[in-house]
Amino acid sequence: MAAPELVIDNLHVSVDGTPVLKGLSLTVRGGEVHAVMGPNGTGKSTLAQTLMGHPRYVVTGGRVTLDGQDVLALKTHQRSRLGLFLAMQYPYEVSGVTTANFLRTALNSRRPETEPIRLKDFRDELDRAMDVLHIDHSFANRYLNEGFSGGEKKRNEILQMMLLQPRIAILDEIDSGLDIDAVRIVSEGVEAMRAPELGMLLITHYQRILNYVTPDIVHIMFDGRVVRSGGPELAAELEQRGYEWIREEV
Amino acid sequence: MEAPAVTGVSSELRARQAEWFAAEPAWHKAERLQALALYEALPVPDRARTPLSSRRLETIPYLERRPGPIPPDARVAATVLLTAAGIKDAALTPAQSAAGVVVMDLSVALTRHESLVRGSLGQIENDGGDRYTALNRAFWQPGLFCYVPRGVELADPITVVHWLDGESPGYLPRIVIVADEASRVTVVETLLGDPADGHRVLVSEVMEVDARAGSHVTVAGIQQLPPGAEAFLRRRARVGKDARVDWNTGEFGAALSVAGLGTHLQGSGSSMSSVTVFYGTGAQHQDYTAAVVHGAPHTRSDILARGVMADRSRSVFTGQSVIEKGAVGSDARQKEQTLMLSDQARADAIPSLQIDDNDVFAAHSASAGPIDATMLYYLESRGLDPEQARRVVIRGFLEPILAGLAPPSVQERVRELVEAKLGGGSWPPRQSGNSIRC
Repeated sequence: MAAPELVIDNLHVSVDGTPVLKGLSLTVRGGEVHAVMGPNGTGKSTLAQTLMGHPRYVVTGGRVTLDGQDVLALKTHQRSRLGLFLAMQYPYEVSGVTTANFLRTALNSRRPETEPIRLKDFRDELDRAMDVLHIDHSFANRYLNEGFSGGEKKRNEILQMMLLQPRIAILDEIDSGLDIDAVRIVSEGVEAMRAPELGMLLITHYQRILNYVTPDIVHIMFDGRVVRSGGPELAAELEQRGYEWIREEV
Repeated sequence: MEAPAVTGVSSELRARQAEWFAAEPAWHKAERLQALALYEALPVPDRARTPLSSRRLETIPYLERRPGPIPPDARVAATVLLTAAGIKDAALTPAQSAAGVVVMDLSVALTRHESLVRGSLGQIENDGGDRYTALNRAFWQPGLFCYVPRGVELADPITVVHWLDGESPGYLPRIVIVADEASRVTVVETLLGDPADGHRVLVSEVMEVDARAGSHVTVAGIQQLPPGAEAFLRRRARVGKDARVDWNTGEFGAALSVAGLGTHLQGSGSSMSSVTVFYGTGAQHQDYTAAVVHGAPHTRSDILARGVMADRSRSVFTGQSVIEKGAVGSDARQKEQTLMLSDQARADAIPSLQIDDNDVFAAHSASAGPIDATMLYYLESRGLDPEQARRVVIRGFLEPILAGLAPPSVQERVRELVEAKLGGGSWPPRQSGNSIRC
């Protein structure tokens, strides 16, 4: 399959009637890691949730395509099956459903009904991914995210990403609330997935995770738009100067 | 020799009673007659959240005997089969027989085990105050008596299947279980009928459990009555010193189910648990009461219920925990949760605690709410379609409580019934082949 391409073109989104994204454009291709940075309240999470189809976010203009397909016309589960993945900032706790069972259901939902994944293959894949992320194997049999610490939930998001093998992954504040060891482990998981078949959009408020994951392109968001794009040096500049100079320049 | 004190009873019902139960001992005939007077004096019960008068229960000719056919596969795999016509089988395992376990027709036990029966029948459930309980006391048929001797621990459950024959307008079974000191027994009771049978039938069941000192009794009841059933199910236990009673209930069938569990913790150190799973669909009305009285020190109770209400179904769950004066060091807990799948469904939860002593622990909680839309979104973001996501959430909601159901065979059956309800449209499920599992 050709390398994926996600094109966001002049996207406008409102939340509860208030415009949040105001003409955002961005293209992510397979093999690339993009970092989207910006101050709080600038629309970073709105971008992530809109791409996945959260019902609260209303698109009022613009286009989003994945490999030419109109993403905005699809329902959330169809976007997932097309290859979009969102590692959420606040993963939900689902009582009564084990992580393993859930992941197997999710994997099978994107396969032909007559060809479910073999249990042994699934277990092997799950074990391998858990090892990369330093997740104790017993977590497979715990209810999804229930009682997990913040760091465990974030690692569980990356675990899901590794198993579902998306074409475009959006990681929303995957580093927030993590101690430095956890940031390193999560980053290793992200780096381990870097491949021509996967494009990643790393949304982050802090520069910290970029010490471990080197982005190809850094975008700075401000007031619902990308106001500046550049190489990794842009993140370093932000680290030194903060967001204030962007505010002045815009 | 009928008790002369009873007056005002219709001669027609009196004659019917005398004819049907002519072979019973006089003491029990007298008790039936007294219950008949009570039945006739009492109105159709008035339940605040369960409007019974509009159901026109009295238009069901429930005191007519019209037994229908019993399908051969209804007998499968049960220790005993009960139908409106009586007991059909009472097949104990060799180990059960050798241990002196009794499973027999209660009407025979009235004579053969008179002292055991008289100590329990009508003693644990006093039959007062409720028309359909008095109806059962006056006209019960079939009856089942189980006795587990002192110190006997039964590994295999005693399985009881009630089969509604599709013709009888009334079904009035009575069960008495006596677990003697330090014994251990599991009784699994399944109420069933042909799921395609829509004819109206009034069911009034009474079960009494005498759990003597140091015994452990597990009672599982799976209610999958046919859709025309209007059911009143009353299960009562008295629990002796250091004894334990565990109720496991799955409520799925019937048009109306008014199910009441009552446990009297009489002996110090005694305990009870109750786990109820319910799932309402269509226009089902399900009214449950779990009541416990802590009448002795250091007694414990734990009442758990989880249910799913779909379509236009309605549930009422009443939890009543009473800690009497003197029951120091007791611990009473109730927790009830309902998942609402439709805005036309309705669930009421009425937890209550009455505490007459200090130095006790008591807690209750009740909640009802719809499926969390953001949780569905999370699951759908992993590729589950909306229906798959809905099922995952419903299964997940019930799972923690399903996992606690005993014995394992009951857990498995309840899971199957949940799946059948989840499927929508396929309820009630047909029993396939020899599939009566208990």
